[in-house]
Amino acid sequence: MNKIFYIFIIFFSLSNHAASLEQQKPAVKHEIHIFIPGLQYRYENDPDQSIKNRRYDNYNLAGLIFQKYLVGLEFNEFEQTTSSGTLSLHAKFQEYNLYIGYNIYSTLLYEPYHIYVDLNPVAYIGQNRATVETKLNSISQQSIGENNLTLGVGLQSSLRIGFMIIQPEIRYMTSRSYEPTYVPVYGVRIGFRIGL
Amino acid sequence: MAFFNLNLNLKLSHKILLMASIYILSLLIFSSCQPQTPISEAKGDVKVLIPIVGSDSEKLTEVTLKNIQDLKEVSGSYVQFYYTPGAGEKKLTGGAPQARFIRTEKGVHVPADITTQQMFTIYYHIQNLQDLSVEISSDLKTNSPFQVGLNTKVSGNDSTGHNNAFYDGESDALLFVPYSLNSAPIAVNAGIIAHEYFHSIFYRLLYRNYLARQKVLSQQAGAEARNNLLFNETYIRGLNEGFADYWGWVYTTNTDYITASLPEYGEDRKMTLEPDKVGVIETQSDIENRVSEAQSLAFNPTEFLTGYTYKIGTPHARFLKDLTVRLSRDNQTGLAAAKMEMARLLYRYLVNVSIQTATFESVDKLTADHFFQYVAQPEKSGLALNPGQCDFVKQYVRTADELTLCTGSSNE
Repeated sequence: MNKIFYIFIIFFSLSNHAASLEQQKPAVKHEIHIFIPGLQYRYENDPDQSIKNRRYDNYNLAGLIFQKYLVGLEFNEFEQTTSSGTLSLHAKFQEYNLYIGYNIYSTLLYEPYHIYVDLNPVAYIGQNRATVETKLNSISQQSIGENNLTLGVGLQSSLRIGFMIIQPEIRYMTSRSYEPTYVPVYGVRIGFRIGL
Repeated sequence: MAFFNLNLNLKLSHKILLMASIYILSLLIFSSCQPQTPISEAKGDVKVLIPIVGSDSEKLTEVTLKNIQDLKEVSGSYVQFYYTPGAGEKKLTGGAPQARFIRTEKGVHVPADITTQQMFTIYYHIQNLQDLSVEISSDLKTNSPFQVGLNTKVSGNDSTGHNNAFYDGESDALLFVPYSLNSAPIAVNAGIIAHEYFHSIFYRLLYRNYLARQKVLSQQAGAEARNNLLFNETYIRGLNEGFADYWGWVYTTNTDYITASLPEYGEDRKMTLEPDKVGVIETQSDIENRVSEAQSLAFNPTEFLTGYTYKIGTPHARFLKDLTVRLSRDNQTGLAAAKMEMARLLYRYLVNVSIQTATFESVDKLTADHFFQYVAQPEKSGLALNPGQCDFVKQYVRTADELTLCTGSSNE
């Protein structure tokens, strides 16, 4: 928990410092960003003592307010089936996160095609839950896990090409259901900007 | 701080959006507010969901794992796991597998992958088998966790490298190799786990000391000496397999638990004693002939005779199971009490044979009906037999004077 506390302090200090920087401002004040399902990778413990890079599906919707403040909602999902003989286990992990961010850097790369690059530190809060379906021959039982709090901080970098956005991100997430408890997360998504 | 100098001249729609965001944020914080201890740090007695296979009925059930010290490695006072272990001196080497599971609202931990499910299941059965052993005799109590290896790699041997499990006496560990058949995995088969666990009891009480004695005697030259040693070793290995099969039945009350995971071998090892098989055992000459054959044909006679040990053992297993049922029925004690009585008889027998073979010379040879003779002598075995039970046991005895059997029992 101390790690996340320090990371939040750094995030707010960074955002506060960035707010005083001179920067070019995009033309539209408020936007909605709609993303198609993106890729997300997490490094997690595997039974064979290794750290595996697991691919999650990421669904994301965000809003940019006053050209600087970012609010978004995302849904992450991972499914895995393991089996041996007549036994099989299907595990599904689902996570909803709300995130807020602040635009600390934005620059126009190429005027004719309105290509901009943005940098946004982001903080996440949400909830995750997993379900497991256990099958033994014809016997099946579904188990629903308890809800768990999710916290995280990260950095989103957006490449805006006209109305398109390509957005890679890195972050550090924590939840007591994670293995390990603190997990680095990497992702990339493509979306569209709609000015309001 | 500039970050907090928000422009609050907002349109109504923006105010609503901002308030909604703050509201959702607060809701998430308060609704998910809970202790942040990782789920994997559960300790003590932990409820888990496991499959029960190889027992009289297959099911998924909640059980309690006792004395867990680290749930991430499913380690505790009963078991320590290793993944793809190496063999060290008297212990396994390597790291533990990392369990992945979820916890339900009722506090039950459910495995999220097969390896974790195997770990939970094996821990549970070993825990029960350890408790059973202590009930039989306090001598069987162990001071350190039982070592279990998963995904063990066995080089150069197709028959033991897959779809198998075995007890290794040198490292005192139970080892499971990868399972590839289309039945219930061996690592969750309660009967097979009990079978393999019994080998650890057999090794500790008899086989370790016997092997040490054999090593001394084998240094003496002579064909007859080597013949006797191989005979005794083969017979003892046969007892080991037979008693272990019986132990699987004691634990599960399933006469056919092997079929659940190894359909190919189930029929030959089924614990049902057909009427025409009563009294049918591998005789002295049967075993002697196979031993001679092994010595003349095989580079490694011990390995050559591995399959044959089951032929010696299976009649012993079926005898024990049948006698247990008779005791339960005739003495009206209930099956659990009869099982405990027979389990204690086995314990006494192993101790007896260990003492006997400790002073063996190279000319000494066990008899093929050695165990049955022991059972048929209540003054030695401590097992009282009624006339019907006596008649049943006597059918297995070949070499003793019948007048010496069942004396001191209710036969008189």
